[in-house]
Amino acid sequence: MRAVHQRMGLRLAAILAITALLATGCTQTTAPAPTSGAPAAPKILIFGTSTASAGGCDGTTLVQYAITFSCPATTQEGLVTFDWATNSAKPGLAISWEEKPDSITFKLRSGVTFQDGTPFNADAVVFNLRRVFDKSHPQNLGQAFPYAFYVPFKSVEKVDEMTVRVSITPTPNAVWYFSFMATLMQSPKAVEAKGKDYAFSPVGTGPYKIVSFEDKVRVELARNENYWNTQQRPAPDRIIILIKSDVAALANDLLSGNIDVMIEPPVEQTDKMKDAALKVEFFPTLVYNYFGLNTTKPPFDDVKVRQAVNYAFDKEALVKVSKGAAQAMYGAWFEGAYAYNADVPQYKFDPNKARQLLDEAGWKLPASGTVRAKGGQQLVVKFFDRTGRTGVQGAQVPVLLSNLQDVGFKVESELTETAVYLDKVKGVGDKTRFNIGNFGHGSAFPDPQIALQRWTSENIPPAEFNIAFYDSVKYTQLVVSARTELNVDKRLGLLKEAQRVLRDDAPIIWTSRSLIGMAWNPKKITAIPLLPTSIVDLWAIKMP
Amino acid sequence: MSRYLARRGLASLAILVGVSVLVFAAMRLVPGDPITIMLGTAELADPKFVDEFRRSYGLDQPIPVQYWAWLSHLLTGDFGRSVVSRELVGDLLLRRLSATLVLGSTAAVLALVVGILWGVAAAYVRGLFGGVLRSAPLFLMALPSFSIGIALGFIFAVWLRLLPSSGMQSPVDGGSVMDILRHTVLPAVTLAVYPSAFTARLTQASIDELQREDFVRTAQASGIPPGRITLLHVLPNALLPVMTNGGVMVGYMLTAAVFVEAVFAWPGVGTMMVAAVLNRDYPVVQAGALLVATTFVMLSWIIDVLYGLVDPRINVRGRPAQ
Repeated sequence: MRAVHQRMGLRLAAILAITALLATGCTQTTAPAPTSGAPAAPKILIFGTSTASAGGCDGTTLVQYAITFSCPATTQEGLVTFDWATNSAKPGLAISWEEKPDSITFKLRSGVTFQDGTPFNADAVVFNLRRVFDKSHPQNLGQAFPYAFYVPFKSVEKVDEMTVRVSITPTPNAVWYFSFMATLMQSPKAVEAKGKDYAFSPVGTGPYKIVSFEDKVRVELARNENYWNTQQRPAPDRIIILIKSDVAALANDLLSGNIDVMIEPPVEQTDKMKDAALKVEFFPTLVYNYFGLNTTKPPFDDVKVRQAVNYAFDKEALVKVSKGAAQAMYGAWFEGAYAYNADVPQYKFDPNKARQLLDEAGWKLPASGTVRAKGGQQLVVKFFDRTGRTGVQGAQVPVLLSNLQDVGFKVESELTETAVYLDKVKGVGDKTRFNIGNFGHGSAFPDPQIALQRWTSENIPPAEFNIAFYDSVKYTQLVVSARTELNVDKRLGLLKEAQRVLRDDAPIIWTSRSLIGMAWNPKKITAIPLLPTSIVDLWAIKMP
Repeated sequence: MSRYLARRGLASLAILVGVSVLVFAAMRLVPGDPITIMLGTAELADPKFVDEFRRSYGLDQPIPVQYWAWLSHLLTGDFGRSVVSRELVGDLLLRRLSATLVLGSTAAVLALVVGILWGVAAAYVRGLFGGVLRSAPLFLMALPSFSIGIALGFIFAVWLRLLPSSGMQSPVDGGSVMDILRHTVLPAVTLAVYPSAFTARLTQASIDELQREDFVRTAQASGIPPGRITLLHVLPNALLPVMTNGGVMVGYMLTAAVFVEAVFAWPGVGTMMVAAVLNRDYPVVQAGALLVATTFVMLSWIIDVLYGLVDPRINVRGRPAQ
């Protein structure tokens, strides 16, 4: 239980997994198609995870995605897939598309059927998009379709049997959004037959179909023998996802051979696992960790003090104590990713520079004593967090506290239960309650728009989690303009400039990018990499 | 007897309604609600969207209206849908309850049989072994169940590889009776440690006390064989406190099951409830709390009736005892 709880704030749910799994786009290596001859024993892959998607397996209605073998992404497919290697859309259930500012015309792949035999065609696409986006559609059922919210959809029409035209609100990189979970295609027949229970046995076109689904306990998938792509198929014949909230129980399962692979092995067990000839590897995620500095209250209403603590925080020390689970992060976006601004000088660990900035801000060290003061007021800050932090977000706290003390802060801490902490009015959204808050987020989308949007004025609580209460007209204008700018170069300029402004104003201490560990039995699995969305790259699994 | 039962029945109903109101109100008064937790952690916090979500679960209504809606559905046997998993709560509860019952009843039988035998042995065996039998329960009662569970899991599953470390069935093609039984051993033993030690201690203490009673001395003086005295005269009396404490023990086991289920990833009511409370999954918490309260009420009922049957001095007929 502890484990589930601890992951909630960051990992399990923060992973948006906006992109559907890259059915074809990410193909690296695949097992050969079956050849004639003696039937080989079925390859079964048993995957252990402590986090589970909440709310079934229908990609369109899921709210929280687990960092796991994604059930929707293995059983359902979208019109396009997103290729992380090239930051571009690749054909999925659509073989080609024509983009205009206000519409996209998709040419559909022929010869595809849903797992229940229903043909995939323009009618199916129209049914699916209307079900998700049109409240009056009979199969909308008043359900909430969480990630549909981001898709710039306006309307859809059938052009011919295998062509659809989707009207959109003009949006940069609009076609990327048709790889989102919210647009994964479902069998219209199955949706109509199953009603509100559809999510527990969805029927898609993907390479696997659901054999059984028990929420938070066990999911079993079997190969879809009628999968349209006959040229290549993923290695496992059957996939069993075992969900146990206690990572220690999963570690025991792996050590005793009950499962073949687990995600996020407990740090204290990794040495033992390596001794037991298990393979342990870490994969970068799109999850970042940070501290929000409350810009509405002294001392962090002063930009110099905010810059000072940015210099004071030792990211390399955090990487060391995280034992492989963190990379240092120096800005608001991932190094090397789409629209990353590499020209902005970043805050490297420099406690002397921090002390100098604090002096300049008027916070001086008294002749005797270790706590700075200004006008008779001591430099006391309140650190606010939720209980039960583990992983990098747990590890970054002691690093921060000791770094702040080193440069002359006195820190008081308040910890509270997750539900209270996340409350946008009484918790971390209450600007009177704290000076520094601990947080982390998943972006899971290669475009920095959503990540940068977090720090705009419109996202100040209670609207959203801009927990620095950073209220900059300039920054907000840059990010909001980028949202609708269709000229690629101009838009890149806006996003990069926004990163520079954010760096200078320093409302946040970016601490690290999270990495996720996987431990597996090399006798059963040769390779099982994770995509940056922290979802297993199905097509890259290798089994002996 | 029937009047007594009817009176108790009415009182029980009042208790259950009280519990449901309390849980309903308490869950809504604490900060955080399922929608903000679910959407907040998933970065979907546009107020428009939160409102839409809240409406789709009827959470925008005033609390009394929500309570009435819940109650009226409940009376037709509809527990609603989980906010988080969207599953029908009735189905979820049934599945989780059966898992907990498998674990709980195995542990209860184990605890009773082992506890009573142990208590009797501790009362009659002398010497060093007797001393060990007498002091061991104290030691075992001091151990928290989750640490016992982790230790047992490590020894029997990881080290000796004799038993599965967790879950209720094997990952591949599991689910047969033997398969479930094998998975039940470790969690049931873990759950039974405290109640069996407690029962042993209780049995032994009351036997010790009874040994000094007049009727035992009289029986001994009349030349009745010691085995017969133990079996027919001492034991039935010694078991009365064990029975009284049965209710308390079941209460303990319901609480301890939360830890044991977590350690062994047992898909029972305990793990379900913890997750539901943390996620503020109102329909699940309400149904679960009602279930636990019903279990308690029914148990105390059964124990009262049984007590009356076993001990003629207790009267359940509403008339003074003869």
